[in-house]
Amino acid sequence: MASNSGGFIYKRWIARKVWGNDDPAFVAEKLSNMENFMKAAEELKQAGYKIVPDEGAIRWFAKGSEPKPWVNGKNELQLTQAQIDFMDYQKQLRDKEYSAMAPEWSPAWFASMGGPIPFNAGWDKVEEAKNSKKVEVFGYVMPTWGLHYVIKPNAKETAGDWGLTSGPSPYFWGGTWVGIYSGSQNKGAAWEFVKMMTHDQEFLNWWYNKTGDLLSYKPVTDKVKDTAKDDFLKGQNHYEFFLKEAEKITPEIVTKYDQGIDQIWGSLVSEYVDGKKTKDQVINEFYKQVKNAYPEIKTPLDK
Amino acid sequence: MRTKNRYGYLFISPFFIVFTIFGIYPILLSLYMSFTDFKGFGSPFNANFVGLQQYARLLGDSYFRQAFVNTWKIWGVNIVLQLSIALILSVIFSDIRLKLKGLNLFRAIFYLPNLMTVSSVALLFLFILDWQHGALNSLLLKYGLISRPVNWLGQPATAQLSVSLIQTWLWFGHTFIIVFAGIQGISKDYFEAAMIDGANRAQTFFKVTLPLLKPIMLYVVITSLIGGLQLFEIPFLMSQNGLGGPEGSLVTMVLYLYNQAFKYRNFGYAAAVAYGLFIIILVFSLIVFKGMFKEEV
Repeated sequence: MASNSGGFIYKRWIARKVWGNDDPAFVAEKLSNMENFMKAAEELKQAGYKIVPDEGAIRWFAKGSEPKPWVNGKNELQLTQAQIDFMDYQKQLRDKEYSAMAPEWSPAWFASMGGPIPFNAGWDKVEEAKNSKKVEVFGYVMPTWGLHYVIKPNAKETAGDWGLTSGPSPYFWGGTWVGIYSGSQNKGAAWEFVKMMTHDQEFLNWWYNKTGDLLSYKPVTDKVKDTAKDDFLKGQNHYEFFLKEAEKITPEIVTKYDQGIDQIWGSLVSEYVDGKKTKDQVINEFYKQVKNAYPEIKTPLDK
Repeated sequence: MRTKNRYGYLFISPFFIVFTIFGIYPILLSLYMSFTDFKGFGSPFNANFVGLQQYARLLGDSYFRQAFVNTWKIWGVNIVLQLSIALILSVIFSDIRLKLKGLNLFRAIFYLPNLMTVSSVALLFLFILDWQHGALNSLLLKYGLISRPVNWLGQPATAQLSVSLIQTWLWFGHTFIIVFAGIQGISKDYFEAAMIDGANRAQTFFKVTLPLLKPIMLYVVITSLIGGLQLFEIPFLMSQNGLGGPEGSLVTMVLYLYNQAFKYRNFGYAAAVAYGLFIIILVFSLIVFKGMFKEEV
């Protein structure tokens, strides 16, 4: 039905303070590739801000910059060069203290949307530890649903001063697909339901008005895409943005293994970021763990 | 007489019906599943029959071996602490020379953690033990006991120890009640005789209390072993994505089983893990049983 295209959702007042410009096009230029992203991170750090809440936040750009499925048609595991390169980008974020050390979905992560959070990393002396140091996160790598259902409810006081722009590469995070079970006894009703969810203009208009959420039926999206605006984003047209990003993504890379493999890879990369494993150890362990989880997938270790 | 008997069967039948449907049937179904490559879709009876293949995989599975070791480490620390605390408290409260007051109040307080739902406990400790923002690190930093925040749940040893301590905190009150009841069950005559013979507290404890408590201790150790080897909730809830914490150190045998079944959909293999776990628990329960009653058996 739809993949959820994503962007970089940021706090405009920080952009104004650090760069004197909060325009989405300007910020997009600042984050246009990973080298620029790191430069922007340094500038933000100098001003006392952290570009992302945690290192894992940029994983979607790794996928977006070399969109290949985890498992190909021959049931072989594919670890892209981009994924390997992004291990180092993640490590840089940690080592240079560009991230706020607030892991995704942790209490600190949610709190960071509403305001500054304590940051303890890098405390070498007890004296320093006594004045609790607080940092503020600049932006979040999140898709359509992240804007409406994660950031908005956690940043009520700053509503109207947020911006939405693109990062180093287009990506998507999640999505909804509806299908009909071949053995279903109510195929007719199921088909009616699928039609309602995907093609019923009346229903989809109602949904749009209620949530402002991105839909995937052109007759409806065409009608609203020019006039849509989101007050949370200072009146920015989020609709046009997400639709444009949606045209750049490669949703065919979805496989049934994604969630499991993403998690295995993510937790191993954080062991590399923590300095507990070398790159080769991570890759080798990744092949082993994937094989253990999905014995039917062929990994380079099989040869 | 005969009619009476027939009614009897009727009255006990609910248990047997429920037990057959929700007990025996799943047990036999998972035994069958463990001989297939069932993936969780459709009926297990349509899955391929693979014989003992899943069990062969289990024997050579290094991740399961790690889960086995993890489970024992977490349970081992927990049972030693839990039993020691329960014993010390029981001895203090039952001391005929001290005659402490407020037993009922303390008993209720000790038992309280056990009444909380495990998920709330896990959430509570996630907040307390959080690396950057947790209460424990803030407290230790404030008093200068550490100079950098400790990532309690980010290192294998401290993560395992944390889970052990949480389990101890949850269960020491329960064990205390049982051990205390056990001590109450010992005739006062022994303690009075020991006192008259001039035995000190340590002698009374090691020569009178402990030997007479043996059956109770056996009960506590075996029930804790059976529960402890099936440890799941706390490690699952305290590791991100339920993957089992830093370097897999919180992957217990049941967490491994859960992930194989419900995360990776290898139901056949997970069923084999379940039967492996059953045999492990059986064997170790027998070892503990025989070990504790060495002289008698």
